[in-house]
Amino acid sequence: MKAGFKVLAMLIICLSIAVMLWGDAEPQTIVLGGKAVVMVADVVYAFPELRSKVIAVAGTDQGLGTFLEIVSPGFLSKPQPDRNASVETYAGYKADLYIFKSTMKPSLGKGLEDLGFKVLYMDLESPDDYYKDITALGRRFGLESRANALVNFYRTKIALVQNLKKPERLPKVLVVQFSADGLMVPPDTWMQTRMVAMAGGIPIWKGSNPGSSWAKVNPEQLMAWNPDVMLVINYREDARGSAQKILQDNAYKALTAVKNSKVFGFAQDFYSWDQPDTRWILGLLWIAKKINPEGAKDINIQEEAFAFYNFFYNIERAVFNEKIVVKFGGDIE
Amino acid sequence: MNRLPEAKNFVLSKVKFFIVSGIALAVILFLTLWGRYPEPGLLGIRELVSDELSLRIILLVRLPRMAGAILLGAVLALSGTVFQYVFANPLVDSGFLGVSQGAGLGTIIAMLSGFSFAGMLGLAFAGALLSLAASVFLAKRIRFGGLVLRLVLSGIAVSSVLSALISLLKFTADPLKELPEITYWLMGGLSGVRWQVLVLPAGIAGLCAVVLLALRWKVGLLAMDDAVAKSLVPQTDKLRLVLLGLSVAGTAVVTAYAGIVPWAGLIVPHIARLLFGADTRITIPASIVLGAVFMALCDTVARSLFPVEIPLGIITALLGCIVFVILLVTIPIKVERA
Amino acid sequence: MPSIDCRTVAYTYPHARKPALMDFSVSCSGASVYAVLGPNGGGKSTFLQMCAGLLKPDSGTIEVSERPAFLPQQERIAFAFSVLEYVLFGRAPHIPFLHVPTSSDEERVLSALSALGIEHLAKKRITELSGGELQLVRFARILVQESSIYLLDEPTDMLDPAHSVQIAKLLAREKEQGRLILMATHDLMFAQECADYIIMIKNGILQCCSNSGACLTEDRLSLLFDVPMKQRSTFLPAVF
Repeated sequence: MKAGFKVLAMLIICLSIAVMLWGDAEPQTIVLGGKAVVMVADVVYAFPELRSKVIAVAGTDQGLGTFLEIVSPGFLSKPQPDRNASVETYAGYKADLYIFKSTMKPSLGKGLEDLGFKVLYMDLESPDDYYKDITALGRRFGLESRANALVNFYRTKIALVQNLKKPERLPKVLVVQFSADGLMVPPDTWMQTRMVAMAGGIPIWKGSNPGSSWAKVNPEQLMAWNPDVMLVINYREDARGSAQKILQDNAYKALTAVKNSKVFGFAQDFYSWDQPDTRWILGLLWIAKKINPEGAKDINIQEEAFAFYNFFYNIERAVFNEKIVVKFGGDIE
Repeated sequence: MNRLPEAKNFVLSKVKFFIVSGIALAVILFLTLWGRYPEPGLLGIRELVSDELSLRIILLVRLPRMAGAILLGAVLALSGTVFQYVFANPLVDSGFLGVSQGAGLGTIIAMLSGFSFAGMLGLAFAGALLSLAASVFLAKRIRFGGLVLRLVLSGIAVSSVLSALISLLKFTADPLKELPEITYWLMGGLSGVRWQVLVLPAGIAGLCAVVLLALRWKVGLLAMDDAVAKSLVPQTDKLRLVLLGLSVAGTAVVTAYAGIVPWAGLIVPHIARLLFGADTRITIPASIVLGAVFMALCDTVARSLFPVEIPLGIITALLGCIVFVILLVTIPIKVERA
Repeated sequence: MPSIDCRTVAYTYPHARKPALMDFSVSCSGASVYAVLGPNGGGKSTFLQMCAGLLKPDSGTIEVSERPAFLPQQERIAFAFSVLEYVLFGRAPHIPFLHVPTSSDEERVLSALSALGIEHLAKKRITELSGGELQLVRFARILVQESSIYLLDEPTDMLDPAHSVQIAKLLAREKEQGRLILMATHDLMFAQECADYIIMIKNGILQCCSNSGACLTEDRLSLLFDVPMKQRSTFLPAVF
């Protein structure tokens, strides 16, 4: 009996060592999924070596597939489980690593971890999150130099924006999302609020939204704030149209921003540039251009966009002009 | 011990009704001057005259919104009153037969399909009427109880199914683009109300209200025991359905622009009965007036308390609940004989 | 002349095993009071409801000369109407569809209340009344309907002797004014004193229909109630 126990203990020790060693090896197969998979995928695909390791991506029904197909042709032929697929479906891929947004941790993430799979979580809500998550991803795959390059790209552009000559009086900026029955403002902690501050504007709605998502504001409150510039987001249609609707609405005629025609549809291509997607840096540059046209007069948005797509996703000029510029929306220029 | 005020002579109730209406009108005018521009509080007459923007705000933003609130409150209260008498049950309102959920489902489908406002209105209407039809259809097939009991049971079933469908739509909606809009709408709100939005709902609801006012005495009759009512008016079942249909139509069109706003249709009829007794000749017009002022008050709180809007449904539920609990605890209304 | 004519009426409640009325034929007419007697569940209420038009016979015919005024055994009360408002509902058959009651309707209500000696209750809520008072109020609602046919299900149920007397007097007066009155009752004394004719129903079948003298015998009553019945003297209001 005692001999039996000894053998068992040895077996367990050997297996544990094997597991630990195996665990530390570089993952060869990756699956992306869960809600907000767009942001996660855009980060992962900024690492060229990782593109071929991705064996399945969920939720391509949101148009995700279109952009990444340009970046990595053949993307759309990968298996595409549903965005709301269950733990079992994901487990079926038996990937070395699953990468999700951190909001998936309690549900999908935990489920897979319990089954013994490895999961990497990304927050991706703020610039600091981006630095942290990109660095962690790089370290996991031994791609630290690429990670550093990406982080530096962001830092350089932020420095560029923050060093612009600012006007004497900082502009009062309002960012709203346009919907059928009103305008909504984002919470203080979201990317949009941070970007306005970084670009040298005053986010006048700060402190008014106690919630964790978009909150409606009525025209009266808008007029009490009376912003100098309004940036209008629309996730469903071209934001330029939404900006036009506001400019023509009788209720807003007396607003300073409307009088000076400083109501702009938020720049967008495949996704709106206000989102905490890798493109947020373009959103920042665009905001700076709109709220501080004098100081930012040397910034060429189209060129900046090309620089970003080229560096992050190896997109050549021809492809950029053909496939990405055509998707431009909002008052990008 | 019953502390209800002595039932007043009908003539005296009329006088009281006009006094209450006058007070309501004054309150509504006061609330129109209340808001967040230029600062939270009351807008003075002097400012109105001097600042062009203030006048613009009153005319283009607050007045249509107040009109929307008044219409919403009046229709919900009127429909709630009719439902309570038709079902001879003071605990129902016009959302009862799954009507609110039906209107909600229709509107959400319209939102997800990108319909215009007229389309939303149409689908809300269709949804509400379909729920009523489903409840009635199911009720006819239930094999026991009077018409009222059967409607109650089928109403519960239809409501639950529709709520589940709404949850399903929320689940499949895009969390970035569609879900916030749907969630916000479901909680009720009047921020999108402009004059154009109100024309069609006002017309339809107004028509329904006129007919219901004409039938107001018969509404009370339906609250009598079923056998008694049928012996006095042979077509009671048809009459019940007509009254329900009119109430539902009104509720549907206001739900289309305001979302699902609970409690107003439940609590205002109780307040009307408390002030004026159970006689529908007075309580039906009274619930219209009281409903209008209740909703005007709730909406003013919703748009003025914070810089961002509080969903209207939350305010009506809170305010309505508090009033309801106070009533239940302080006034021992004997509703049924042992 | 008011009349009710039932010919071979049969009725079974939905999903019931036994018929409630079988091969039921009875004819009532003229200014008279009929007492409908019988054991519980025997078919008395069913018969009255059929005459009131609330139930339709499965076979056979019922012809009623005009719309009767019907008083059910019990009433569910949902709202605290005042007595005046409650009785006013009885005027419904005379008020056109989209109209509301007029002051003449209210006057009729008040005179019906005073005929029953309860005009002082006019402004009270019905939920505040005693059982007897409520019964009188319901009676007043019958009066204001101004019908020539009354169908009363257990009219003296809740009433003390004094009130019973009042009802008896009222029924007599109404009969004199040409009304046909059918009342289902357990109160044999009341039936004996007020009724001209008796209708006996047991297990849905007509047992007897004739004048009180012929029907109200110990034998017939014992058979009707399955309990030996004996006529004794008992306390009665002196008026009877």
